Amino acid sequence: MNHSDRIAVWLTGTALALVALGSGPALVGAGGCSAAACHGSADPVFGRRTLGNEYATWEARDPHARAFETLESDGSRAIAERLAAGGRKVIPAAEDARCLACHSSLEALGAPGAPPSVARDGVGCESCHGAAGSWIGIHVTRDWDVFGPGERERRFGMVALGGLARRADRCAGCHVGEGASRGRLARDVNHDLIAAGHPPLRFEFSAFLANMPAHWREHGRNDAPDFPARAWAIGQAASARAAARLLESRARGALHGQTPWPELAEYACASCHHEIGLATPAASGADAPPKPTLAKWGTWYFPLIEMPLGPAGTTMRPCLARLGTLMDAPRPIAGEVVGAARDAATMLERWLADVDRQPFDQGRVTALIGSLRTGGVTPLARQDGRWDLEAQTFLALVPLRQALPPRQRADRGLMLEIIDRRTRLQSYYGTRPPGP
Amino acid sequence: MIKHGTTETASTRERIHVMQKHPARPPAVSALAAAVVFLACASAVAQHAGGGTRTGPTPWLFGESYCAPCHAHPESYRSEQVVCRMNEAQTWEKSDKHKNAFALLSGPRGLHMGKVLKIDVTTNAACLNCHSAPLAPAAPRPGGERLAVRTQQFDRTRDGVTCVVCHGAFREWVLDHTAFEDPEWRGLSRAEKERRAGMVDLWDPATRTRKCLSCHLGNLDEDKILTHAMYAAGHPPLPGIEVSSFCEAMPNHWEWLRDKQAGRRPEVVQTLKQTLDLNKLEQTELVAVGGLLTLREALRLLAAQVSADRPDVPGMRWPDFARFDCYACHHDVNRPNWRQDRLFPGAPGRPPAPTWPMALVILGLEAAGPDQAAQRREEYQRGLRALHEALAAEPFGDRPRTIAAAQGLADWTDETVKALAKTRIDRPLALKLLRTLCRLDRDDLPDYDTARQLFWALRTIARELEPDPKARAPIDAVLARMDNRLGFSLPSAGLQVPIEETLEIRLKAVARFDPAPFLELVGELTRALPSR
Repeated sequence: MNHSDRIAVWLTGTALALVALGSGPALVGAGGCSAAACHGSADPVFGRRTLGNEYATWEARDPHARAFETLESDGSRAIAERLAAGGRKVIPAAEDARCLACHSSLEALGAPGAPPSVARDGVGCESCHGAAGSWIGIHVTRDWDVFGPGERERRFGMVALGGLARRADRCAGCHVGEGASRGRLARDVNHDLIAAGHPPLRFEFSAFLANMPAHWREHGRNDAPDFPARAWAIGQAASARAAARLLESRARGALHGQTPWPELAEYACASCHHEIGLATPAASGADAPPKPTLAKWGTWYFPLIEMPLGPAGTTMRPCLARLGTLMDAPRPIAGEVVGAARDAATMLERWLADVDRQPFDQGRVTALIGSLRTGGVTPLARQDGRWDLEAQTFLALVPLRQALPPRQRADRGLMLEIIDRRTRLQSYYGTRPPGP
Repeated sequence: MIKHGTTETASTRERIHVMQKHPARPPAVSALAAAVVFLACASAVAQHAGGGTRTGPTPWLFGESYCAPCHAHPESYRSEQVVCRMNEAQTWEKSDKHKNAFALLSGPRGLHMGKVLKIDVTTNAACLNCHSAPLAPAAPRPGGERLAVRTQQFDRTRDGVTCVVCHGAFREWVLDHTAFEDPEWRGLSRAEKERRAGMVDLWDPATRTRKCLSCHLGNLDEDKILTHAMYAAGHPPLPGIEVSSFCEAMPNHWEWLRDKQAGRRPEVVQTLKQTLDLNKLEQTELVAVGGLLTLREALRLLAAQVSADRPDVPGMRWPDFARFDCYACHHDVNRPNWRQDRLFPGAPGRPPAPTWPMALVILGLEAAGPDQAAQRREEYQRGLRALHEALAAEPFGDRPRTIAAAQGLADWTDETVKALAKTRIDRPLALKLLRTLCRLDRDDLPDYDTARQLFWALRTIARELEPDPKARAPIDAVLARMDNRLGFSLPSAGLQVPIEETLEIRLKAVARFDPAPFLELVGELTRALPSR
């Protein structure tokens, strides 16, 4: 039996096994939230604590609602066929555990009593808010007000998405990825999937959050001018932590032969994916000897990670540098990577808690923008993950600018620079220079 | 008279002196002089070079200036009993890039690579073994060539890949063959000349192919490895190689068999006929044998490198990415992209072996005993599947499985080469092979290098089948269009221009390649082929 067949069997077995174990609270499905009087109003309802039209917003405008449908598209069919290369059995994407883990409410696969149609919801309410079986009843009563967000999560499993760190963490579970744990499927867009046609994941929390049609209003600390800057900084930390944890689980899996290793999705795509074009070397012997270009690790989640911390960020440097050195080797040693990635994740965890508490006042934001701009707009070189750095810089400048007071925000130079950076990024992904 | 290096010995000066006096009969006289000099010190030589017990010929590295006094005299062609053109040194001097192989190490790219790799490219064996005459290793490895430690008129700086690098760097044949009218020398078979005297039998298609491939593809036993570290430091990508086309591109300093009879004295033709089959379809045979051996050598190299996992050469720790398909990774990730439509030989995301060395296997397979073709095809497919699966089992391959699969398939090619050697390729068979090449599996889109192998093979076989350019015009027209459109010809063939002048043309042709027009033109070619 080959690998894919095993997955198929395992997938069909998973539901039964998890039912038997009774693990996980019951899923209700998006339909359970969609009553007009609850979250299914067509328009926002005046005078309520929630908007009331959350379901409608999600259903009509939120791409998460289409996550399952995507698995039935031509593109997904092509991916499934390519994954079956070499004569393996084609597993339709809509039945493949690797796909369903993110493209549906994860727990749908194992939740007792969940109607099979729940998978068809795509990424529904409970994918982010938590399986509602244990709180759907109580959360409409006054008793619910007794519990704070933390308690609601601990006791009932309703995820405290009001906290930005928790929210970013929840997004990163799919948008960065997470290893398999306690009956949960691995959510991992690895190089195998990308090569078969899945777009590579490049998660940046503040941009993704801004692009998602909000079915909520921000409250408390979130309803403050520094929100975009906080979202960026917290997103950086949460994404990097998720990436370090994913790497740890990939390396650990490799020790048992369960995951591919080295995992090529860990590296800058353009490290390898550039056309072979050899520049004429400089004739003079005076220039510094260049390094041979090798695959570069961690160019998406880690290039700016020290920045929001200021001087404190330097404490993280040796830890990440060690991980980088291990990963940049032609044959990274999985056993060593496990430990280094775990250390990095622990450190990032601590930092995430710090940054979650910190305000981002005008001075701090101005300083951050200043240091992002000092690099200037440099030519995009191939192979070295430069595009990733440039893209992260652009994605940092946008929310930081939004966190400035209106007068500074209107700085024409800053705005033009941001527009210029975006144009360049769109025209060139480190492989082919713009133009004919 | 061509220029000479600075390391002349008394014997050379004597040879040249004699030749200037008697230009019409230089070889015999100079041979006599050389024989006298060398016989005198033969015993000392044996002790020095052989290191005690010596079983074969004596490794000895001669420079080009040792050969040129005879082989730069085309006027001897008709007047002498010689079997070669006698202008070989002039061709090598004026047109052959092998001459510049060492000199270019000191060029800007060579210097740059040296800085990146932190080695002196003009003395490092990893470079010299291909860019000059190989250096004798401190401790010879089993299976490796016996290499010369003694040199004669060898000037590394101007000799590059010199005559004896291919013809055999051994003392015995170099001396003996100068007495070419000696019946004892003439009476030796090609195999005996190789075994006893060290003259490499380059008329044997397998031997010639192996010789070329040792550098142009790589050979671990001979320490000729181009690693990814060297590529990344700036070494131009090695193009795929079809030996017959490369021979023409050198350009060949020898005559193809069909040209050997014209204008020769009858006794020379008689001599040639004793050792060579002058009427065989030599180039077609070379394409077919080369097609098998290219895969074999690629597999041997893969297996050897996976097993060796050596740290002493830059980039020799496994995985050496240079053993994988360059363009599996090095391609644009933009869409639409024809690469997306290609089938995966192994699994998506797992770099596969390059496909170009497999492109021409079908020729040898079809030609080696038609009754066994079906069985061979099945064995080949099975071997290939095992290789692809081993390489796809994990990124950069499951090592033990890769070694086993590569060796298994290499053994299969050895068997097929043996069977092929018993087959005489005649016109109907060559035509059949041409048709086989045209009947490509349309679902399996060839990449640039694979398509170029097919192009080279098609061109070589078609030209040999129909030597008359007028009769061949329709085929030539399609091939010319294919070449113009897709840029298959090596832009620096037969030109001693610096690599920088042509490298960009070559790399652009790869980057711009599209399989659709290629397949279309192959279709046109099928229609232009003669019916019989």
